[in-house]
Amino acid sequence: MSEPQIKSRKAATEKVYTILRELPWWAVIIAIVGVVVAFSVLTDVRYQDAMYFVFDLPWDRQLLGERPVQGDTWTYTPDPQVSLSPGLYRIYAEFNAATGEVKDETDLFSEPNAKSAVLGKVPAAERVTYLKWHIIPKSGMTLQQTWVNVRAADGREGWLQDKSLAGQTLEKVGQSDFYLLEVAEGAKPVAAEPITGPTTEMVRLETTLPELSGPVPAGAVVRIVNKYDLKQTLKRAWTSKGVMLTLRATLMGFGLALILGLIAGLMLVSRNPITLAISKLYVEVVRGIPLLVIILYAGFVVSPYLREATDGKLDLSGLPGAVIGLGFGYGAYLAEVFRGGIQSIHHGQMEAARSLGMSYFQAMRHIILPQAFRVVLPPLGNDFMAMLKDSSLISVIALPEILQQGRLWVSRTFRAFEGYNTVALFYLVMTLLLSLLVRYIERKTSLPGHSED
Amino acid sequence: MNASASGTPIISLTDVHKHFGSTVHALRGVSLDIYPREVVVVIGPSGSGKSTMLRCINHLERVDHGTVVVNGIPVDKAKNINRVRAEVGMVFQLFNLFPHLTVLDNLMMAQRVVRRRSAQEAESVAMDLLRKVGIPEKVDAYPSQLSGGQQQRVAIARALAMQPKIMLFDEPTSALDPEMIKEVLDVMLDLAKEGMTMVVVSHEMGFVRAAADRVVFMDTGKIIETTTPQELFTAPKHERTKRFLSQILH
Repeated sequence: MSEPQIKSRKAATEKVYTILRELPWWAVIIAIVGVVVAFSVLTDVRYQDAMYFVFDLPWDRQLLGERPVQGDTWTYTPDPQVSLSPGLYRIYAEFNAATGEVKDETDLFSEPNAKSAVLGKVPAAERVTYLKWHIIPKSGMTLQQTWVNVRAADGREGWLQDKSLAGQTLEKVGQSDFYLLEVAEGAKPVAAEPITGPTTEMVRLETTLPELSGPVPAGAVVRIVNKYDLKQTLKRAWTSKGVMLTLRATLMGFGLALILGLIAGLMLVSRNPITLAISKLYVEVVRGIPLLVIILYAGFVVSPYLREATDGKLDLSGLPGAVIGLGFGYGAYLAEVFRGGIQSIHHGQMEAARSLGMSYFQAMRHIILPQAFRVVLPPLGNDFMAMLKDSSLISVIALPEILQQGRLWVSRTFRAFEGYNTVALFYLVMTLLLSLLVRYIERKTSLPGHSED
Repeated sequence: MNASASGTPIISLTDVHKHFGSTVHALRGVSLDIYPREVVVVIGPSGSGKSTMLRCINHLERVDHGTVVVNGIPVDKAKNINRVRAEVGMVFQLFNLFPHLTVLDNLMMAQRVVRRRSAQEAESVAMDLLRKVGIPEKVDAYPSQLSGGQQQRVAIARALAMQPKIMLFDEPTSALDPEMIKEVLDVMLDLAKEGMTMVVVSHEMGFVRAAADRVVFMDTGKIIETTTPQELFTAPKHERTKRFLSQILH
């Protein structure tokens, strides 16, 4: 290579480096994550399902009721324009509260089957109410009922054929979760004739809801949910699994760790030998035991013991136990952080405060701790992120947080790659947002004349 | 400045000993009486125990042997040392302002917390003192935005805000640039004129000449001699004092 060529290549490399250097670090990470997420989500319906399951979205899921669909026969009527070629389809069912008028006097069957026992007769022109559902995949295809479970005006319930009803009115009451419809390779062409359920071999409904796993609708229950509702969403956020559970456990655990850490940290800088010994014992013992073991203690030793000792009045199993485990474990680390922060404040500050007549605790509260807070903020942020990640350990006491949900999804779908990618992605997005938040707080609380970075 | 020693002492040190660890014997039997409205300047080479003696007066250092009585209260046995300290203002070499608070809050904090004054009262006291030390315009500044001299003046005002009966100055000008020393000394001279009881560890001979009633010379943890400024400059009694003065008075 000639001399000028080498020079121009060097210049080009330098240019790229300059551009990269000028980008803020978080923009680079967000860009990379964004590309990965966009690519995955937009191209693969499996990721949507995994995210839905792992997040356990707290919205769009108010349960209006459950309705068994067992025995409903349903027909897939192929549209001549669309053939159901092998592959994955994202489908959902729409549910309507329906009324209809019986065309001619007809038998009321005990099961959705013309050979089943006849419960009685329904006279012509009687109005009946029922739940009508149809499943909507991509355009032009619907899967709908041929038998409906009706309630007559006199309260009798039974099964009628859909086609014996006229003058139907429909009022949409909700829709189901999204399901994956997987049409297996080598399935028969679907255009030939209507395929009827429930024992179809042609289509397999794959879903993540336990009630709907396996061929649908054998033994299935559909959940009727309504649309987005803020109040319900907030209510559900407190009970939902996945991301919200991880956040709840982390926030509560960190709150407990802050309290324990602050107390132990203050004890570590005290001159009283007894408090010093107690805090040192706590810090050294807890730091020397893996967090996983502490969580197992909290979940399987402390909680059951307390439950028995109090005759079940004090039940810490589940989230409270996990929070105690996380908080107790991290309190020891935070104690050291607080100790370092307090000791980093020049002793002249304490002397000045004391010389003005403040007590030790007044000086701590008004003078030392506010300054120490600014010092410990970065390590506190670090530990908060570490705890967010370590909260995955509480899956060992059977709490369905992000990792546990991900494992459940993987065990259902046998798709480890997509499942764990989704889990990793959720953690990554949360920690990135957190580190931005910590930097923001640092900027907000920094004092004038002190450097920010 | 004031009439010579009379009445009962407001500060009384009797045979005070102080050790740091097992090797350093910082004070070796110091006895000193200081009377109301008196200005006492303590001089001596570094390591002679000047600062330690000052810090023993408001119990920032525990006395190993001997007694310290301030305002009639034995400091070592005081049930509420904070009440004693509130009567004794202290100004430090490195100012020790609270960096996370504005100048106003520096002056208000102890008034609010210790004296339990209302915000308005504390603020009016603070503003009066800031005018007195000559920097009312810096009320909303943070300490890091002030010059050394301004910081030390704020520190004096902070101590005065508690309305102490006694003011202790621990080398208040030795961390300052030469041109800022005067503004701090002026504030101290004003205080002396008003009749504040002051104990000052300092080598500012100008201040000694202008304000001191008595000068205490210390070396190796002992008081070598106590004298008036005139005698100090004209006829120091001890050889050690002469040697020290010849070193600092060029």
